This record gives sequence, C-alpha cells and structure tokens, in this order.
Amino acid sequence: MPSSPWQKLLERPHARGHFVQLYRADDNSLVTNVGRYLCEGLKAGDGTLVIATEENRRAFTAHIEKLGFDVQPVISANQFILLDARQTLEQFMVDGQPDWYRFEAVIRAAMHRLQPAGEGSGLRAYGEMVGLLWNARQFAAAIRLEQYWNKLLEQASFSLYCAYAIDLFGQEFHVANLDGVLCTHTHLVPAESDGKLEKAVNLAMDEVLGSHAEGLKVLIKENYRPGWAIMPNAESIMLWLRNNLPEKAEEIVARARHHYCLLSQAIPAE
Amino acid sequence: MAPDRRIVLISDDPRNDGLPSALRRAAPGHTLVFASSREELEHSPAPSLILLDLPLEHDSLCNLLRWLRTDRSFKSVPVFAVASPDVNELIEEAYALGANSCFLRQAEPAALDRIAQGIATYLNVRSAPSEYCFA
Repeated sequence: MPSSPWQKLLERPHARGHFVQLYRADDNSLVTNVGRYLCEGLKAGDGTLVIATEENRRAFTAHIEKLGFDVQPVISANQFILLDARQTLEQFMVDGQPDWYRFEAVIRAAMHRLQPAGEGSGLRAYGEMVGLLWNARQFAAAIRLEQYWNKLLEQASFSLYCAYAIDLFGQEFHVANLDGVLCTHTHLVPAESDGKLEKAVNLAMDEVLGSHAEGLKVLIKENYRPGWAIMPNAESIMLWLRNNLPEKAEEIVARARHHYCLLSQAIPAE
Repeated sequence: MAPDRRIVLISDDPRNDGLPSALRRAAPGHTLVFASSREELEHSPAPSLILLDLPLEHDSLCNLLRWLRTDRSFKSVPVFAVASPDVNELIEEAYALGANSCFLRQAEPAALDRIAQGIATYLNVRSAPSEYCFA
C-alpha cells in the first residue's frame, strides 16, 4: 500500500521538522509511528537518538525488529542511542524548570556521541521528556522545554518527534490547553493516517448539524492560524468546534468517538 | 428574549467593503453595524458576532480584546478577525488575547461569498436552542 503524505513525512522528515503526536495511553499508534520514524532513519544511516521511558524504549526497539531491522549492530556502533527520559530530564531541571545551559550540554553530548552510518546521513531524535512533564501537570515547564528544543533545532540540523498522552476525544484536547504545544511544533502527526478519524468527525457533524454541517466545514477550512503546527483536518475541526461552538462540540466529539470506535472495530473507551 | 441579530464590524478603514457586502447577501436576517473603538461598543447590547478588520492600531486592538474577554455581557460573543498574511504577528496576538477565528482577506468574490456563507451558517447554528436538532 502506498505511503500517505503523513507517513512519508515520518519516513523522510525535513531537517528542523518538529513533530508532535497526541495519543491515548492504551493505543498502539505511538509505537507504530515512532517505530517507523526510527526504523526509516536507521535504514538511511541517520544517527538516531531516543529519550523515552523504559517501557517505550522496549516497545520501539521491538517494533523496529518486527519491521525486519536488527538494532543490536546500530546500538553497538552508536548510530542508535537510547536514553532514559526521567534520568535525562533530572540532569537539567532546576527548581521545576528546565535550565537551558544544562539542557544544551546534556543533549549536545548525546548528539556528539551519535555516529551516523554515512557521509550524507542526518540526525533524528525522539523525545518524551515533555510528555513526562505534561503528565506531571508541569505544563509551563513542558512548553519551555519545547522552546529549548526549537533553539537547538535552529542551531543543529536534525528532526525531532515528541509525544504527549492526550486523548483527542477527551476534554484536554482544547485550544486553551494546547496552544503552547501547537505553537512550538511544525506538524501534529495523526495517530493513524487512514482517514478513519476524519470520516468519524464528518459523520458526527452531519448527524448533529444536518444541512448546516457542510457550510461550517467550509468555514473551518478557511480558518487561518499561522503560528500553529500543520495538522490533519479531523484534529483541526475538533479544535475549532470546541473553541467556536462549545454548545455543539461535545455532542459532535462524543459521536465522533463512537463512530471512530466502530470504524476501528474497537470497544469504546470512556 | 430574542437573540441579537447584529454583527459588529470594527475597522479603521471603512473602504474595506468586500466582506460586509458579502455578509449582507449571505445573512440578510442580520444587521451589520460599524464601530471603530471599544467606546462605541460599551453602551450597546452584546451582538451575535464581532468582526475585527485587521490591521487595527496595536494598542487599541489589545485594549479592545482584553475588555471583550472580561466584560460580563461580551465575553461569550465570538470574535472573528479578517486579515492579510502580512500581519501574522498581529493575528497571533489577537488569538492570544481571545479572538476565536481568523480568515484571510479575499479579493475573489466567490471566496468572499464562501466565507460569508460559512459565517451565516455559524450564526444560525449558534443561535439555535441547545436542544434543537438540525438533522
């Protein structure tokens, strides 16, 4: 099956691309997407840095192996370096906030250890320290850390993938909470790029809004938000509805969740 | 109480007539009212929508949005901005201060009509009782 534009973005990310994925703790999309991003980088000879929890480091390496790539040789050659997110975070947090000089020193040291496999190979990184801060409700610290990553991205040529355990159908998926996250990334990566979510949202809008749905979809498509990450239609529609039409948004999102679960042949999660 | 059917357009340049004309066609049940400052809004009832024609003078835009988002009768009124991409910083500032949406200024009549029609639909949906079923 041909790759979607989103899959291509993960396979061949542009330098300084800063991606973010929001995922539900119980879904497998993070492992699938990050596994693909890492595996394609390793195949291309990129130096690849992962800063994740032990559970996710295991899951990613298992997924890369499942994709037919042997990780041991690239780990031994320092082409693939895996660090613990919590331990790394502790090295540069000062009084509940990341410290730029410590952060820069820690991350640059890890990047200097990376050995890309060839002359033209690049660097790519995956990090979930921001996700840990978010889970601990240290929102300002998470956004500051994203800004520090952006500072580093301006100075060095690499791509970066971040992840937050935020349910798209949950109350947390709202402009008021996510503005800082969306302002600090170039792309919001969909959990799945098969169009199921967009189909579910469209169905829900049609059910709740009847003949008005099409007119609103046109308006939402025209909405202009220059400072935000590029994002898929479904996510963009849900954020707009919650910010502009709260009276109807919750019903639409609840129905979208129902349709999405049916389309995924899964049991709805409450 | 009947819902307010006024759209207030706040503009420094009354010659920007594209969207207002398209809105008159798309939302004939609404009345378009022009204003140039917060002071003109303060003593009138809250409208159904406020349209900001950007750029507005920076301090007055900030002052206006801060007031709109704290005033008891205006804080739930949606605020849409219309702008050109050359004022991206101002657009971001407007969002940060509570503007809900922004649309790029269009020269093509068809594109203007599309946005105006979308805004009219939005106002219809928003003014319907919450239990009303459209389907």
